[in-house]
Amino acid sequence: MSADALVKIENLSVDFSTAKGALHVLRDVSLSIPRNRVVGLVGESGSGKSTLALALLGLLPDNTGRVAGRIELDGENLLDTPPEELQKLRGGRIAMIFQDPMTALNPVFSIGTQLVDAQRNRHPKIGRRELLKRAGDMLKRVGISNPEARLAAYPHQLSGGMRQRVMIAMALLCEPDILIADEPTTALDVTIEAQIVKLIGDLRADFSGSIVLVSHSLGLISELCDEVAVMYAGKVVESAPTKNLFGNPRHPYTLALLACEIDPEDEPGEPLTTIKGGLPDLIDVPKGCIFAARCPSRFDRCAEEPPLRDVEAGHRSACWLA
Amino acid sequence: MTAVLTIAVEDLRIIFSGGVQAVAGISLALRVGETVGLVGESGSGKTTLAKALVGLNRPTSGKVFLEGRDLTGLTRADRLWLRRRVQMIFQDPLSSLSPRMKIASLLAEPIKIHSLDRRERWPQVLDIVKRLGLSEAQLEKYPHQISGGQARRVAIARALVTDPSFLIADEPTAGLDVSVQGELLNLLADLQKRHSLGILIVSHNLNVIGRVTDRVAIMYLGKIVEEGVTRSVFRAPRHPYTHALLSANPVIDPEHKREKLVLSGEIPSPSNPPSGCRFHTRCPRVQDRCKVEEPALTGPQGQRYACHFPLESAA
Repeated sequence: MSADALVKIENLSVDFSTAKGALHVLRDVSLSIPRNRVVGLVGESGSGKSTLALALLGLLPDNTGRVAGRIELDGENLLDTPPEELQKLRGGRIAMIFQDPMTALNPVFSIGTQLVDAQRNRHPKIGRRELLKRAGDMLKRVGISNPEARLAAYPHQLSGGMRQRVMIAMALLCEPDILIADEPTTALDVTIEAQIVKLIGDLRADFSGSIVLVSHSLGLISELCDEVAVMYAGKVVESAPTKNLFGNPRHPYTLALLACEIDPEDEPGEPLTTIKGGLPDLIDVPKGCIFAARCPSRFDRCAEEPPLRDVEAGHRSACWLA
Repeated sequence: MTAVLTIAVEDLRIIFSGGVQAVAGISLALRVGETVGLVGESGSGKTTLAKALVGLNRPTSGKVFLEGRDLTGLTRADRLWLRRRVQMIFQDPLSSLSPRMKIASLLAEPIKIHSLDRRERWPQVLDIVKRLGLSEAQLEKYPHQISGGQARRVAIARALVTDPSFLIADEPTAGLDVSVQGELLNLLADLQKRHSLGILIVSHNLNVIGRVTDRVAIMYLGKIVEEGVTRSVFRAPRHPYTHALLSANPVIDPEHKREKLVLSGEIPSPSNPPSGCRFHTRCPRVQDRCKVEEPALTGPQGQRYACHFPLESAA
């Protein structure tokens, strides 16, 4: 990927402490996020995609054990940054849109108050009235009609789609360099999801930062992202520009995921494709390629772990056959 | 209601307190051996309708027929019989399994409730358990000790204990990873063949519905707006709402070839539905007539729709 990376993740490993031992949630993950691009993180549950997003925010859970590697934002390692500095980065240079806007918004404060507070980090010197005006303008931009009335409303008075628009407005008000969206449409109905997808697409034009989109939905990823990283059991197994990834996938796991997507145009009656087996044990991690146990193309060499390497310009795969 | 092996509702209405018209006049039939999909967004009334089929929601008006028998004024005996014939798999399998009972007891409970012959029934239950890919060791566990996918299988096994004719599955694949989703749908298809079940799948996942159902009904604000053979409806929807749903469905499209139709606005409140056609406030084809006159479900049996100005047919 390009040299001008906004965020560079290098050899990041994260363990969670459990009663049974250390759970190796992320292992040796390297990824760069270029400026002004939308990067998708796709994978199934247990792939570590949400943990990676939380690590970017410095919000790893309390039971986090060992953390190794680097997360560089403009050359500064976030893992070395003291908590109070990180606190300033969040809601400043880094912002997040959560999956469930109802639990992410505070139920006892009005939308206006929450949108004002969200800007305090970025604009400590601007007064409340001005911040409220900016909040109203932003609500209009994310497609909320009658913003004055909405600023006075409380989260429970808004619909799910509207709450997610408020979350997006809140994140954009921080004018972040990097915006992390974790399953931003999963809790929404399809017609509302389509509205939010269109909104994110439209906002890109005047948003100068990068977006990291975490999702299990290949459809959503293909529609919104410039680049995609496919994760499996704590590893990035393939990363590429979106068109290459879907047009010419170079890792058996990516191929298997694509084959599992249901195409309603397929003849009914045929059994659906599945990936046999389950996730590997992440406490006692098996040696060799992490996908080998479920891989249809497995061969002798898979006992040795394949590195994530360039298979063509900008396209990386961790498979001996790629 | 000619076919005996049918569960059907006729002009069903369910109005909750506060005047919420969750189901506003629906007729729908499910026959053994077929899979019917019920699609709609939150607030469309699809789960309310599904629950009415298993007797969990009392109709405000209209009728529910099971194998020709009118179940409107449900007696206790009726209810017991209904629950033996029609079983439901709930959306969240874990919360539908008592945390204080072992899986084996959970599976044995329906035998006791319906006074079935345990010696005759239990081996068949074990057979279903095995076919669902659950081990006998798992029968000795409690619900919290098994994974979400396994809990879903237990819920399916439990639903089949009484050897029902109909299975109502509310969002059976919600929250499952794609690699497991296919497995579960394959299992349902296999069970359907073996037990000649009639299955109603309630889902908002259009890919699943399009692929595994024979017929489909699309709901909006308590009404069916389009119904018919799944293939025909998906290939050439006649109702603008069906069209919008299919268009909004995210599919893999890295080249952005597909033009998306994005509906504006949100589903209105079911306690105060719009006049005329309930969809008129969001419809891209709306005309004056739609605001005052409610369209009836019309068209040939294979594809009926409730719209004054439908989209072109495929033919």
